[in-house]
Order: sequence, then structure tokens, then C-alpha cells
Amino acid sequence: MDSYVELRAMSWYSFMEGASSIDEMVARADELGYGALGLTDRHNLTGAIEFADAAQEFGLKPIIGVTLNFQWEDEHHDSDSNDNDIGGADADARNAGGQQAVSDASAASRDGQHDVLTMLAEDERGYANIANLISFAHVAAAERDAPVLNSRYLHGRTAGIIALVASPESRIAQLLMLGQYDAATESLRRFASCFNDDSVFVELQRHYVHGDALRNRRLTHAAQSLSMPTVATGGVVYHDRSRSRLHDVLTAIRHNRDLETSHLQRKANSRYALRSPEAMMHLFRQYPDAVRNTSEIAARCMAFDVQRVNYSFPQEPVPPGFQTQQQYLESMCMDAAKRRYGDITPKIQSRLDKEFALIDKHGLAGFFLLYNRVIELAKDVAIELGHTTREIPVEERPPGRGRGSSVAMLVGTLMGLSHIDPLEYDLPLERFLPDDALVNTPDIDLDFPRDIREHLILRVFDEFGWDHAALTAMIPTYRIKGVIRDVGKALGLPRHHLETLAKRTESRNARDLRDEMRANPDLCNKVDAPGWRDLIEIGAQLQGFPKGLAQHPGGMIISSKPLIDITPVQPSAIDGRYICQWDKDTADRANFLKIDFLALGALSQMQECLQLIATRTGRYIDISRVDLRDQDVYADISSGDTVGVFQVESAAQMQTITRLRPKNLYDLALEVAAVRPGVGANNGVAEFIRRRNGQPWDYDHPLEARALAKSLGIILFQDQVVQLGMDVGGMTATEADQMRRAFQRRNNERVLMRNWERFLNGATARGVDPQTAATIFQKFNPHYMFPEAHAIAFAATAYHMAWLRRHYPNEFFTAIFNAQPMGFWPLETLKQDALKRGVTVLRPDVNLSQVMCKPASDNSFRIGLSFIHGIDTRSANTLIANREWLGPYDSLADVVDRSGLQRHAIEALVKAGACDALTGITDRRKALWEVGLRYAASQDQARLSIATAHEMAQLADTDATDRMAYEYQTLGLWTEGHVMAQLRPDMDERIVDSRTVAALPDGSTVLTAGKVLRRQKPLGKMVFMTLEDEFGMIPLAIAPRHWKIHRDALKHAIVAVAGELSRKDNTLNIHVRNAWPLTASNSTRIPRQDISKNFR
Amino acid sequence: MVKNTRTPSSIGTSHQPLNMPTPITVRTGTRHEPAAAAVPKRRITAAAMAAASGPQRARGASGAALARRRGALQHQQRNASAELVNVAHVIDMWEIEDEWWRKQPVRRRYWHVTLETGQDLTVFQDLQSGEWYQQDY
Repeated sequence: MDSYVELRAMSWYSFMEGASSIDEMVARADELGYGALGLTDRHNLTGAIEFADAAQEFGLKPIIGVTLNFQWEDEHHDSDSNDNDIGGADADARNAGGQQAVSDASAASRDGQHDVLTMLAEDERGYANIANLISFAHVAAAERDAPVLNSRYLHGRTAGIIALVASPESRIAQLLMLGQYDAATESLRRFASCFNDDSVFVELQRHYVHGDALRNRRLTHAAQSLSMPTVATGGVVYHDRSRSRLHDVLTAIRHNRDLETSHLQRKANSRYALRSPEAMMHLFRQYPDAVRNTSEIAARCMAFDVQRVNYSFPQEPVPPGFQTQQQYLESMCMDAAKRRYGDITPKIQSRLDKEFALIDKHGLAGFFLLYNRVIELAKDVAIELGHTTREIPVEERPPGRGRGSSVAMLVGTLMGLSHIDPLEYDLPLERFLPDDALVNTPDIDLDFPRDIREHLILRVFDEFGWDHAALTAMIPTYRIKGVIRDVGKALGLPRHHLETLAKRTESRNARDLRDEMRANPDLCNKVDAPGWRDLIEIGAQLQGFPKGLAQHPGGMIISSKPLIDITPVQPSAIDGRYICQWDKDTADRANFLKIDFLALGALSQMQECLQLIATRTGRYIDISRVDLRDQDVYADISSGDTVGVFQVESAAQMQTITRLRPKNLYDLALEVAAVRPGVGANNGVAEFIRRRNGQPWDYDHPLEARALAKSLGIILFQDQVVQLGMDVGGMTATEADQMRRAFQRRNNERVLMRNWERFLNGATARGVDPQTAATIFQKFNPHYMFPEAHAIAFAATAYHMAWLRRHYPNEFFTAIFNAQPMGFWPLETLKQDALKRGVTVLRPDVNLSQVMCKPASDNSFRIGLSFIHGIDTRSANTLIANREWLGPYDSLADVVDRSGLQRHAIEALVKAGACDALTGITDRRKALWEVGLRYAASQDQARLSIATAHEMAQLADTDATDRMAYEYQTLGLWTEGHVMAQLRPDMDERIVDSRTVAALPDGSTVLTAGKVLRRQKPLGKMVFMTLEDEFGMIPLAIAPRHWKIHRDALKHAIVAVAGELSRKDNTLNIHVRNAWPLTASNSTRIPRQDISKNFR
Repeated sequence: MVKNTRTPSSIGTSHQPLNMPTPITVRTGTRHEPAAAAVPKRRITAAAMAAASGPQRARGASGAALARRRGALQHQQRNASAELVNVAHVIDMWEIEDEWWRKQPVRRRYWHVTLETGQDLTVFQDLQSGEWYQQDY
């Protein structure tokens, strides 16, 4: 008998159904002695490339397939009411079933009427057909989460597909078990007629479930009556039986039930694991043909390699007068260069010639022309939004800006893809376009202001159609909070306990659940209790599991041939958008031309800032031409005066930047890159700073020199990992890049072990001893790092923002208020920082404020009405429209009468101080009383504008503390001052302020207090907090043992801390030993959620 | 209106649960499959069971304790009145694993067999305790 091949396994990409990762499944298949394995995830090909890569690692042949719910066209009932138009698809798609794609997936699912169809790709055409069919099942579905393939789409799309039908969950199997032989055989016959001869197999499964034997006998009999072949499959949903409980939990979660009430949905036992070929042959010993057919099907699928699926760059049309895309591109760039530079110097010409030659060599002219087309679309959007005009060249005012290694291309700058001149800063070209073989498709990411991006995405769908353009997917995964809530609910654990635990956890990793429970006073004695014990065990297994497909923040793929021939496309949760089933990494791996359209709050801020400057001065600044060597700007940056500055404003950046003290753009790029988890994981930041400050150091091996020379032997950039893999480990560029990516994969232990062996062998061959090789390999880690050019691009944007902050602070702070939410700091901190820069933030005013913040003078701006909690944009517009129509409001009664706003909105205006300047308003508490009087009768009759003076009560005057509380409540900041200044007279006199702290020597014992701005626990080590008082910030570092003791106190809004001041490595920190919530009576009146911000 | 008799109903007295598994003696083969089963010569009726367990109930025994005593009684009676019959062939085998989150998980392996007497029989082995039970359908 031929050996058995498992053709039907589901991974965790069968979302909430498969209970094992692809790596686990492949590794187990290898252990069991399989030579091939079929992956047939439900409704998607999300794991196809990852599966192929993992299988390649183990020398396993990957067979790519899918499992789809299926419905016959004539079994549809509610076609008229549930049709979904797939009009965006190509003509072929429409031919399949007419303009209207008839689908009623939800009804089918509810009624249990759907069949199940598993399809395997025999060749590239079969793969394309499967990708098409999955797309149509999704796009035509009435409900986004319930795709069903309608039989009409099979027409013309079955070539190259091997179909497996009649699995236990299918309607055919159910009919047979009910004794309805005729209906079942008719369905089988119809399947056979849809596909090529010998391409439909009746599926036999055996899981030791009641009825398996009878079903298989009847299926075999029915197949024989139709001369159809049978095939044995395992219906695998996990790699090992130990995952069966996790599978039960996933099933309960998927059906929104708990384990007690999901009996009918759960599997009967734990026999759905991958079993050895020998075990399967024994299990199906009565059906030798079914076993033999597994290896025959596998042999038919051998030739297809999903890793070679042919993606082609979009081909842009060439205007008359040009023979080739290359000619057109060169002409366009030369015109832009003349506009930008005037004279084309030899240096410029030389650079352009070099770039043109490389573009020609790698055949990338169409690639750049496509980007040009996207930029033109973005410019159209920017014009419509009033950000630019048709006459302004795109290279002068680009609608977005590039990031990543593309910044090095002068061609990119001239096309409006990049925002800095690579010639001026001598940026190396080789990293983006190497002269040797191009391993991956170049990647150009574009950042846009938010409003441009939103419109541009829809514009691209309009331009290219959903079958040629789609957003890349993002795969959200389980972390500890989701695990607690979902698994705990499935286990029927008390909800209030689960919520408490979820809210108090500090780790992100569900494998820390036992420790988290032990740290929780309410749950510390339950870690071994039934239910809770299962939560800990299953939660650890669920950590990192994908939950489903979501929309990536920006990545878009555009293809010249239908994209749905390569990867299925499905509607996004947002109307009008479509996502492909591959995430960013898979799209990269498949060499897709992927354009990242990212919304960057900093660019929205910059856009508005430049327009405000133009309004005031009459001059629109070309930010790409500002002097990048302004030492005043670097002085601000080097002193850590960077609140609100893109990329360098975080507390960690402030601590680092003061020690690195950048003097030029590349220094700044090193700094931006250094404060990344991937660098910090090996204590790289501290070591880099020490080396920068002159400490002696040496390479672990001289072979590191080429990769690490510019970063003093420390790995700061992704590119350096690849270079080390090549120089030390003797890998090819592709192998080294695969190694780098392997670190980021989930459940990657086996893959990493293989990479280590490869690295060690290569290093040994180069004369590196094993110990040194291990030392170098241990520097690699899964945490994120920047590519070098990306760091340069971000450094440029950071510099631009710092430049605007230095020279145009009023516009800078106005714009950053309007761009919220963004950045690191709350509005209160931004207000304090603005004040230090001479900019006053004025409270809102019903007669002076606009919807958003607007400059009120050269050094002040007024808060917009929509910033008041309780006043939305619509209400703000109503207030302004009434003001502009009939003139300014003259009293509170006038505001109430003319605006027609609800009582709570008027109260919010009063509390925020927006009515302070109205006639008759002397005090906010009295004004609130008046509001109450004016709305008193509104429940029973129309509100009348009546006199209220005779009903006014004698009320205590509103003092500064009252106003502070009101404004924190409605604005999240206090325009008059700072909460700590208000509290200080009542504080213990031993508490010192931030100015005093800053002047204390290293080792001092200190007692201080402040408002908590942030709490951060990077990589689960020390906890870092920042306090703020009326004079500045106070950085705190809390060791895990102290955090454990004082955690509750430190989670208050305003805290006092005692500890030891440290000035190690020129940074200031207070190492906290003790902490208390500040108990001054006034502090209790401040809502804590308005004045502190938690970060992870 | 019918007057409330205030007499509680209870399992084993006025109500007889349907298809409750009953202990059975099974001799297993080399692969742990049932090779022979002790088939009772006469069927024990519900009335006989009720009569047998009635006095205990009256003395206030709990439902669970009562069920255990009843099972033991059944087993005793069966063994007393049964003889081992060889299994002619196995028709089907299946497994149940459930309620693993409770204190007493359910793990059973069922066998549907035909005895040499021609009688069809469904038995299962409790994989937790190793005990065998007959399951009537």
C-alpha cells in the first residue's frame, strides 16, 4: 500500500478553529515522517506563504488548499433581498453569475444548508482559481463573517483544482446519515460534473466519533455507485492531542458561548490531531484505495510552488512621444530637476544617470511610474482639500512624504515621494537599489496627513478596482487581557473577577497569567482551583494566536494582473475598502509592490502649521529646503527640550538624546534608531551611549566590522542583522533576511534552531569559534528595529518639527492641539510647554473660539469649542453659525436660546470658561445655577426665556481650585495654572519641586510629588514613570520589587514619592523606594482619567 | 384543584431515568477491546430496582448515594445471573471526551459489538476508572 499523506490540516489561520500554529503543524508532520502536508484553512489562504516557507525549512512538500462553505445556486432562497454586487471585479467574475452575485451565506449557515468544499491547488492555474473563488465567496457574501461560495462562480474556474467533498460536517454526509441516499448522491454527482475528470474525491474521515464507520460505509457505497474515487483525510485541527482543550475553548468563543452550552458545536473527543502515516493506514485499512489516493493527489500537487506565484509590476501607459516607460520616467525626472535646481550640475546629472541605470537594470520604470500615478492622485485629493494648488509642482509641496530606504533616491525626491534632498546629505543609494541582484521588491512607504490618506485610499480603489488593488491585512493576536476575558468567559468564571484581573495585569503575555494571579489579592489563592487552573494552562497556549483578519493601517497592494489570482481579497470592516488575505510580511515575502499609505498625525500637524504660518506671514515655507544644520534646533533637541516633537518626545528618547547630543541629521537618525525595543533588548542603548562617549570597545570578531562600524559595534538597524548573517554566518542575502524574519515569527523555536545551525556552520567555515558565533547570534532578537534609511527619514521629519517648534512656536502648538490624539503627552503638558516657549493657551470663548484652536495673537491661541467635553463638532458649528448670523452672544440666556443646545452642553461651556466673558457672568457656579433654572421646566413644556435673577441663590464664590476642577473636567487642562501649584500650599513642606530635584547631587535622598503623566514598563523590567509639577518633569524608575509593593499607590493621579536620586550616565532618575497617593483634600476633586496617561 | 401531596418525587422511586449506563463485566482482548461480556439471563425491571432501593430512600439517603447503591445492586444481580458471552465482532468504536473543566471529566470509549449469541450490545469503558458499563439505547 502506498503511504498516507495528510491532505487536510487546518492551522490557526482557520481563525478560532485551528488550534496549532503553522510551525507546530509542520514540525509535527516532519516528526511523524510525512513527506508532504496539505494546508486547507477555512475561507482563506492567509497562511499559504508562511506554510510554504516553514515546509521548505523541514524539507516537506507543501500542498496549498482551502476549505469553503458552499451552496448550490438553485438552493438559494432569498436572492432578491440579499444580493451583493461584486461590480468592482473583472469581467470574468461578472460573467460567472451576472452582475448580481447571489449569496445568502448567513441564511445557509443558519439553516445548516451549506455544503463544504475543500480544494487543493494542482498547479498555478488551480491556485489562481482557488484565490478567485475565495474572493467571490467573501465579496458576494451578505454577511462579512459568513462567506459562502455559490456554485455559479465555479463555472470556468475549476481547472487545476482537486476537490474533496462530503466531509463529516457537510450536507452530503448529513443526508447520508439521515438515509437520504438520492439527495446525497445527486449532490455528489453535481460536484463531479463541475470539476475535471478524476478531480473530485469523496472524503472519508475517522475520528473515533459515533457514526464514523457507518458514514464511511455509506460514502464509499455512494462513491462506488457514481464511479467516484474516495480519499482518506484526517480533518486535522491541531498538531497534537494536547491542544484539544484549547480547540474546545476556541469553538466556544467562536460561537459566543461557554463550554457548558457549546456541546453541540464542540468536537466529541481529542482525535483531531495529526496522526502518523502508519496510524492512518491502519485506521483506513478497510479502504486501501482511499489511502492510495492521498499519495496520488499529493503527487499531482507536487509541481506547484506557491512561492513562485507570479506577481507582475503594474504597467503604466506611456504618453505619446515616448517609446518606453524608462524614457518617460527619465524625461519627467529631468523636468522636475530643472524646476528644483535650475541648473543641472554634473553632480546632479551623475546621480540621476546612476539611478536611471539601476532602474533600467532592474526593470523598475513601471514601478516608479505607478508611484507617480499614486502621488498624482494624492495631489488631486490635496487640491480638493485646499492643501495645495494645481500650479504648485509636486516636488515643491508633496502631498505626503516617504519613509524607509527610498529616501535615498533623487528620483523619488523629484517625483514627490521623498522630502529631503539625498545629494545634500549624501545618502547612500545602495541600500535601496543595490547594484547586484535585487532580492526583494523595493519598498516605498508614504506618510500622509490623515485627511489626505482617508480620501486617497478610496480614490485608489476607484482607479484600479478591488480586484487589482487591496489593502494588506493585519492579524491581531491574543494577548493576556483578551485571553483572560475570552477564555475565562468560555470556562464560565465569574465575570467581575475576570474584569478585575484583566484591568490589573501588567504583562502582555498570557504565559505570565499565573504570576499575575498571584499578585492579585482577590485571586492569589485560586491559581490551582478548577477553572482558574485551566485558564492559566489554556491561556498560555492561546498567547499569540491570531484572532482574524483586520485592515492594516496603510499597506496597499496594486497589481497589473488581477490581484485575486495571487491572493484572495475580501471586504474590510469599513465600507468601500477591501483587504487581501496576506499581511504585510507575507506581501513582502511574495515580492508584491506594496505601498504603505500611513496616516501620520505629525504630518497633519505640520500641514496645518505651515498653513497657519502662511496665513500670518503670507509666505508658505518649503519645509524640504530648511537648513538641516541649524544648531539652535540641535541645541533644543540635545537638551531634551522636545515635548511635542515627532519621534524624539518620549521620556525614553529624552533620556537618550541628552546623552547622545546629536549635532547633525545622521546623529539624530542614530538616536531615533537607538531607542527601539530591538536595540534595548541587549542593553544596546546604554552600551552605544558609553561607546559614543569614548569608552573603549572592540568587535566580538573582526568579521563584524563591515556591518557594525558606523554604530560602534552595536546593532542599531535591521540591515545590520542581515549583513552579519552574510559576513559572519556566510549566508546569502536571502538566507540572512529569512533568518532575520524568523526571529519575528511566532512559535519559532525549531526554525530558529535550524538558522542557528546554519549560522554556526557558516561562521565555523570562516574561522569563527563556536563561542564567538553564539555570542554574535545571541545579539539577534525578535524585537523591532528601524532600517537605516527609515531612521534617516524619520530623523528628517523630527528635525522639521523641532525646527517649526523653535521658530514658529505659536503655530506649532496650535497645530499640535488640533492634531490630537497624537504623540506622547497630554494637552496639559503641551500647554505647560507652550507657556515655556512664550505661547499662552487661552480658554475657549463662545464669542471668539472657532471649532478648532486658532491663533489669537502672535504668541497665543484660543482653544476651539469642540475641545470641550460635551460639545461635539456639530454643536460647535451650531454655536458659531448662530454667532455669525445674528451677531455675538450677549448673555447666557442668549446662548441658551439661540443655540438650542442641551443642558449638559451649556453646562460644559460654562465649566470650561467659554461663557466667562458674557454680560452678567461673574462666577461659574452662579452661571451653572442659572443654567439649571433655565432648563428646569423643559421636561413638561417648551423652554421659555424668562428672568431668573429673582431665583438666584446665595452661593459661595468660585475660587481657583473650583475653576481648575471644572476645566480638568471639561478640557483636560487648566488654562490658568498647574494643579501642583494649587496644591503646594497644603503639601508637606518636605516635598520638593522639580527645580530643586534637578539641582540635587547624585545619591541624594529626595521626597517629591507630581501629577502622573505616564507609566511605562518596557520589556517587563523596570517601571518608568514621569511626574509633572508646575516647574517641569520628574522622571522616576521603580524596580520590580518596589513596584510590587507600591503599585496601588503609584496608580493614583497625583503621587508623592521618596527615593534616591541617580545621575548615572548623565541622566536623572529618582529610584523610588516609597510612594503614597497625595492626600491633599483638593486633589480628590480632579478626575484622574483626565490628567494622566498610561502607556505600555 | 389537585391538592399538593407534599411528597417529593425522587429518582429510583416514582421516576426511573432512561438509558442510564449500568455496570457490566467485560473480559478484554489484547488491544483492550471487549472480548466477552456478562449478559444477564433476565432483565431487571425498573419496578424491581425501585423495590430494592425503596427502604434506603425512605431513610433519607441522598440521590447520588442512592444511585451508587442501585448501580452496585444491579452489578451484583447481573453477575449473579449472567454468564460471559464471547464477542463475535466489533461493529463500531468511538470515544467521548467532555466536561474536562469539571472535577470529574468524562472520558469514555464505546464499543458496539455483536455477541456470539447474535445479540447487539453497546458497552463503554470509563477511561478514568477503567470500569465497564453497558449503555442501552
